[in-house]
Amino acid sequence: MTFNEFAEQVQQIVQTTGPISSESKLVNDLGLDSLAISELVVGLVVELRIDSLLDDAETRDWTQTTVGDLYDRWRQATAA
Amino acid sequence: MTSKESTTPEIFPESFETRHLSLGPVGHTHFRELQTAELAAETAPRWRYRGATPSPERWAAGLSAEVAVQYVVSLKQSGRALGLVVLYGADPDCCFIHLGALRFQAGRFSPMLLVGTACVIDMALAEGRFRKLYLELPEYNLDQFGSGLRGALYEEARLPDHYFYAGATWAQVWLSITSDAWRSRNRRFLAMERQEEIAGQ
Repeated sequence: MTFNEFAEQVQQIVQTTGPISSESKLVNDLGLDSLAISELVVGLVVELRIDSLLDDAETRDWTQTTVGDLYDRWRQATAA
Repeated sequence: MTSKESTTPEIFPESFETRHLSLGPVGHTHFRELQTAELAAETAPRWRYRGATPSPERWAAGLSAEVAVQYVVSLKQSGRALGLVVLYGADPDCCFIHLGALRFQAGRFSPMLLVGTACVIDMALAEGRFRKLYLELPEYNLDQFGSGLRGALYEEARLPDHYFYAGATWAQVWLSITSDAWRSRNRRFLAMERQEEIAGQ
């Protein structure tokens, strides 16, 4: 899956539109609030099998997390 | 949340599991985390005893006062308890109920506790048990529900300068969710999370 395809998945899960780059921050750039981030975590874990997101979901600083960070996690998950 | 006598409509399961979470009753092993969270600066103004320290007897009695059901939300994988979700103040005639949620680690955003909270809302509203659900929260917690406000939550009332926290006064805000609004919302992620339960229905 390319980054653009991954970004489309993210947009579908949190129902946002607009451009997404790998540097886009979930909170500041995509405007996601806590509820939307929760939806995103479950969506990515269930649909893309990024189970490792659950490992640090409670400790991660979501205000600094970018879409690129999540894409990297997906690539790690699929490489494992 | 505030408390009176227990009204326990026996319509909620004592515990249930979702794909990643276990939701179960409060046990004595949770008492320390619960009391610590209740006394945290951001929580104390809005939770049961408003930061006061009740006697052990009063505290234990208050755990179930006016509570319809309450769940400690834990991660299935690690067993770590994230917080408490409470449904209280049920009115079976008018079919409304109130919801409160408390993070055990104050100040830390807990996405999976919110998922657990949404699962409890889903159980109360989407399955036809209640028609309307109320949330009472301080203004400083409102931002985390922005997307929910656009989607399903409705601001019913606002009491200006109600709380004092972090050197400032904040409004108390009453939000509501109706079962119709909740059902019309995108519940796809919840269906995914509750897959085991939905499959078992």
